[in-house]
Amino acid sequence: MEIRLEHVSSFDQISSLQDISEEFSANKVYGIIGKSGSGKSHFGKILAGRQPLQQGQIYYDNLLIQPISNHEQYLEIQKKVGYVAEDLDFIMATVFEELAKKIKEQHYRESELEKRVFDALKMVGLSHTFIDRNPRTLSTGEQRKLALAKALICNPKVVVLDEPSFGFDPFEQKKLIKLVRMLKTRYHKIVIIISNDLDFLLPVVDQILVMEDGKVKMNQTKYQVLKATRKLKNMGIQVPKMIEFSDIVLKKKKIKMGYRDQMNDLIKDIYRYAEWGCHNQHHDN
Amino acid sequence: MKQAVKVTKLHFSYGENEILHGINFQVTKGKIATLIGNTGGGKTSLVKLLIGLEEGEGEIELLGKKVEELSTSDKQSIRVVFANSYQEIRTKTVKNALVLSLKNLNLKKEEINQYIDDIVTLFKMDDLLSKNPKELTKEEASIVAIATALVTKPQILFLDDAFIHMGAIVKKRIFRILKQLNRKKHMTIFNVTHDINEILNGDYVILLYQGKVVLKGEVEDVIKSEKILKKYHYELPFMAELSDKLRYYNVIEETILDMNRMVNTIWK
Repeated sequence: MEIRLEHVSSFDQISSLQDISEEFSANKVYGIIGKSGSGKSHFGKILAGRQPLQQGQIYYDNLLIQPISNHEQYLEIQKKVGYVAEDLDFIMATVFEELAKKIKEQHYRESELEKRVFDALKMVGLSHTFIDRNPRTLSTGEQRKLALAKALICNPKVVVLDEPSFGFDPFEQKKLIKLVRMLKTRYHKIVIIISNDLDFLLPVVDQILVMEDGKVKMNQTKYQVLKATRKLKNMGIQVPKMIEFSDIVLKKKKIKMGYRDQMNDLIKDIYRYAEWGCHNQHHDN
Repeated sequence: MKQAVKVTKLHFSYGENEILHGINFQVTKGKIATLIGNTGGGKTSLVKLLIGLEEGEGEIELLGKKVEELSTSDKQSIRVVFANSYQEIRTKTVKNALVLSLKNLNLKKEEINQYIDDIVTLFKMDDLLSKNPKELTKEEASIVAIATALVTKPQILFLDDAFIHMGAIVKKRIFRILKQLNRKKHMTIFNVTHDINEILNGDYVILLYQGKVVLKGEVEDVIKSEKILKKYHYELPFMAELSDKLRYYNVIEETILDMNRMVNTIWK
């Protein structure tokens, strides 16, 4: 399974994408980052068929999925791609109907309906006691889980999530990280996450695309992208505090401590470099 | 009157589900309080109750008056910004949104212009004034949402995930403005967030879990309550943890929560 974009351009009032050619492959999780207005949400919408292209093509394997020319093709995209938008919108009166509607659109058998609804709720960790609740009375975090259940209910090959961690406390965030990892390793999906929350992204993504002014400025492994700390900061992206700290040490004291994601490793580094001063740094460069 | 916000035995339910189970807390006037809490734990319900958008059982006092007895003019000094407030700006221009926000203050024309000038200078947002809110990025629109609330010079500002669409640099800049208003005009700020690091921007912390207040106190005491935070799945703020560990290893002598100061202290 693979997604291929060929010279894609797309624009509306607020954002645009200009001549984008990229590939995404299965068993990988991708992060798309960039400042507000850089086009990252727009990217998610074209992958999910929610926004038209002005130029170029998008293929899933060898199947042309954008530009969309008829309703069958549209339904096919809806089946292949599970999408959670940043701004959620629920139209049905209950959680159950909201999920059932999505299944009915894809002409699944009535007998499967209930099982699929409960499986989807279980997968995202939303209690079955919610089924009769009005989606609009749920909390922000619960609404995001419902949208996620709706995106996964037809078992899509590709999952596109726009700011999935909004409204999640640290505990829920950890569960979401586990779920995304499972989508990759057990279900072999392509997962694309649009978010500037690096604390959430770094534990799950393999590859990061950096967007600026409607273009993909970088498409690298997460470790390579993290080396461009200054650049990320200038784009207004909050780098993890651990990295911000190392960056200040480098800038002010010219000491290179490298990338750390464990507090204890950082402490060891500080202890080492504080004791021996700057003399040691050449060994580590 | 010392308390800006006083909540006593507050209960709230959606149908049969009780969301808030009798909570109590107070925020002293002129302080910045940070409320953190779990998903679905009742944070937004609480904010809606505080500003009178929902009705519960128990007592809420704002600026020394019961919330249901606040007069129209009292209400002008209490403002709120939600995560999605930026979507609700429906005027043709940003300037009109600011004017609209002032309409209940019964100001003269010159005064309106003065109020708007003040906020525009403070936020350095001249370039946004003539724009249509629909053409703004989410980040810009979120700044406008906060400016629209502040233009009326409120005494209490409630923020419910109001920074969620802002990048790190912009968020820092806006918070600096809020802190300035807090210090100079004694505006009370009640900030609801998911980011534990934000508690270091304030004076007082309330941790709401499953509809109960499980921890409350001054920031310096809360960052010593690592065990309780951990119990509710919160890590210490990064700088608090780093400071703790470095003190333990005698690298530094006192708690340092500012990153630049920390680096300068370690490498004198």
